[in-house]
Amino acid sequence: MINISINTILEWIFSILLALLFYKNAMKKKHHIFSFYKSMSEYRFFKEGLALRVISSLLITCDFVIALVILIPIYRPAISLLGIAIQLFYFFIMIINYNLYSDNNCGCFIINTPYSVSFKDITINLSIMFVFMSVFVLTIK
Amino acid sequence: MNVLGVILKAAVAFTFIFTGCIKLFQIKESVRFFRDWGIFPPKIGILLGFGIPPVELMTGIALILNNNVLVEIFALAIIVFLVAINTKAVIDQDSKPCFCFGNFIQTRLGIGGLIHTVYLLLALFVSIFMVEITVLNLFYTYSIFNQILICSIALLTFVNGISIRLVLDKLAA
Repeated sequence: MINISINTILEWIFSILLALLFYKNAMKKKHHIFSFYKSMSEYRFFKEGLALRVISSLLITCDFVIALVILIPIYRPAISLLGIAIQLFYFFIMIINYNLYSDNNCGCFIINTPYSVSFKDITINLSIMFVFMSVFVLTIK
Repeated sequence: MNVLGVILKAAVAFTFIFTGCIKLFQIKESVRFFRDWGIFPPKIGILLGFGIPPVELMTGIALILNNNVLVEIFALAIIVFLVAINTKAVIDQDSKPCFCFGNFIQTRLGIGGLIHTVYLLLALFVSIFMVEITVLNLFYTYSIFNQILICSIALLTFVNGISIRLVLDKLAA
């Protein structure tokens, strides 16, 4: 008889959810890469230029990496920490740019880069961070 | 590392027990406060007023007596919820009164609450990967002296959190 604990089931459910969410988000960002770059440049934290080009490409890559590697159990703790770090980064960006309307944002990104930054987006960001924390805790115990 | 983890976890547990107990003693005020708070609809507010105190108390006790991952995730969820409420108060610059410690200690939502909840979140998160699975509960060590020492330092950590909050509340007022 196969013995699977509730912790393992929860860990897999959370991981698959995160993988789907980040894969879809990364694909949208990849298809609308210039819109993503322009909306990042409108945020009160970055300036247009080479550094932002590198950062925005890196963020899209991180989304892809999270989506794929979170499904591999041995790398799950490390990738959960990366996810928490990325969510924290977006959390601070959103707080700095609260109520900001972005003209160049296509409004098609699912998480982290909304068309206008509202409290709902911050709550979604915190919820995703909580799911990453749960995955981390479930994996290491 | 186990000792440090247990101290941090106990500090979070003491905070939950303290807030839960105080709200439970003033359950009528708690229901009235959550109903008239304005953040939630009145019906949900009444439910929260009745539900939050026992849930906080039970979570605190479970954190001390257990090393169960689901209890820890539940405690994380409560703290993340509190972080979200305090973040809203900070970004809207609307420091509503908070019934966090009942009428015993008057606190407000805002930067003080945000720092306190982040402090609790970090303490719990760090403790989770410091405490080994073999450590069943707070009283894993058989030495009474060590148990008293762990409890005392955890109490100081818990008081430290509340002090940080009160000082920041005073500064923000």
